[in-house]
Amino acid sequence: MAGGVRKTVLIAGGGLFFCLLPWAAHYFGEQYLVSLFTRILIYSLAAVSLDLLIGYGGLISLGHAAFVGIGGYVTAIFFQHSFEAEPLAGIIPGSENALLVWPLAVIVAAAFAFLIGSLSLRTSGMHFIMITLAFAQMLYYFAVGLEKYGGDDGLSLYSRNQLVGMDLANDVHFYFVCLFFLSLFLLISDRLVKSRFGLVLRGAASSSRRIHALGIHGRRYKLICFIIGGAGAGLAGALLANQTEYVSPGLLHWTMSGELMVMVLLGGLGSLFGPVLGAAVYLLLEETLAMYTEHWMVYLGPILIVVVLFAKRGLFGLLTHRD
Amino acid sequence: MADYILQVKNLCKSFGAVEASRDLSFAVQRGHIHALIGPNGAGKTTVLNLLSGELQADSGTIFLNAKKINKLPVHQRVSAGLGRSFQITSIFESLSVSENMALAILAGEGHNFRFWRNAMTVGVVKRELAGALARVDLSDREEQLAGNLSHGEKRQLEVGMALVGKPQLLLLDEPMAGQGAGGTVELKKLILGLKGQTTILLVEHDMDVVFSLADRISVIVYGHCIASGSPEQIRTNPEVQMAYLGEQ
Repeated sequence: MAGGVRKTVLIAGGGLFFCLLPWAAHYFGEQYLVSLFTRILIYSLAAVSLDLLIGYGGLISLGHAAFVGIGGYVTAIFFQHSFEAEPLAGIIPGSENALLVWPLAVIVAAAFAFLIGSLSLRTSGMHFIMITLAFAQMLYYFAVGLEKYGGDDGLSLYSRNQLVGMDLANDVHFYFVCLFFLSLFLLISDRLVKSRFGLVLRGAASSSRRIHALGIHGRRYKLICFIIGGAGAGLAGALLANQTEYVSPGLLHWTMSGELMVMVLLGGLGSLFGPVLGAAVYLLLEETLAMYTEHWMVYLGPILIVVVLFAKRGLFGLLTHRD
Repeated sequence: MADYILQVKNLCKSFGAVEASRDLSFAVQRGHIHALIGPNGAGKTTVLNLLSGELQADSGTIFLNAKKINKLPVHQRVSAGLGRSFQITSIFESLSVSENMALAILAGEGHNFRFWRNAMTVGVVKRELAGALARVDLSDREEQLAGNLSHGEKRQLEVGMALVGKPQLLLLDEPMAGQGAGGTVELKKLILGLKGQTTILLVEHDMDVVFSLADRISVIVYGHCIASGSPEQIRTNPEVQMAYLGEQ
């Protein structure tokens, strides 16, 4: 089968699998699968947004968790103010309305991505990795210091947000909301990387000197990519806060950025759909291995090394390409 | 009076104690193939970098179409009509051949902040892509990743991309470098075919190529232009002979 056909079959199969999962879980009486796969969907969203940066923009960011954390904290903070009926900074009322809070989480994450990106993009290569890491760690310690919002201990939401026509407290409803947002983001990203913008972006990632010679200011394109990636991660953060009904500084920690990067590499860099596979495999392995040992990382490590060494395009590339 | 597309006046550029360009002046007539030659390390590539804007001159002026461009950044010089191909091929290796060319086509078409529509289906790409690929004989390679092309094909692609913007002045940096004999013949044909469409400033080591292609030649030695003239004048110029013989 040609690579293109395999890819279509794989994506369609994956889509069908995710659509049918809640019924399968119900049939087999394994309800916990729904929440496990919700988690997979949300991490996938974050990983796909990171793949836009690394795989298409050539922007190796080790601070992507910052935007997940920002999205999560915006959601939790607005919940807290709504719950206690005490306006934020004395004027802005809190809210539990998903239609209000989630877009806000995305906007705030995008705004931070704009700030961090504007400064970080003055560097490249190793320096870029370090500066994105530094910004994320700065925000992590900021969250730790946020005594009003739980500091070290994090902040609990007492329920999920309200969404018109849906009952988010119902795990199956929430699952499909997450599936919808992941599909939407995948669609947008897929169009994006093939568009004029995407072509220039991939060009700039491949050779910034050449893109300059064409008379194009490559950095602007990378900045927009960074912002879109940050926005996607912000949405993932808002969803994650809803799923666990809890946020903590751990969301912003560099280990979270590292996990997302592993998912992208495992699934396949620059493939958009690969990171979904990467997130699923990573989280399922974690879930399974953790049943046997708390040192499950010991087993995950070698698996990762094998994949990175022998499948440069990741698991997705392994399934869609035959060299 | 001759119609000069490019005039370089008293250009100086030093890297520490090394003077790469020393009071350098020359002019290129519109429509000509103008070659820059000189012994190794004479500073020819520095001149191209100063012209394209990758390096800023310490002093001196560059006029393109009688407009001062020496303070402009690279991309504004491109808009002003300058196209360039590099000594070291620098195409987009991770993009396909047609994507490379499409990128070059779209670069001249205003801004690219279009986020939804597939770039390869944009009208101007559909209209021009086939012709642009055919011009450099790459029609049958369009689906290939540019990184997988042979050295000569990469060079062809690069020249093709530089041509897409319809530059008024095309800077070609050692186009024959690393080409086999067959590639050299092909590229010579290609460059001759461009004559009349655009002005070309050529830096080249291969003297056979230079003397058979160029209308005018400027000789650069230690960053200074010691002679400019027709191939015949240059061939018989005693100073030039000294510079080349002295090197050997």
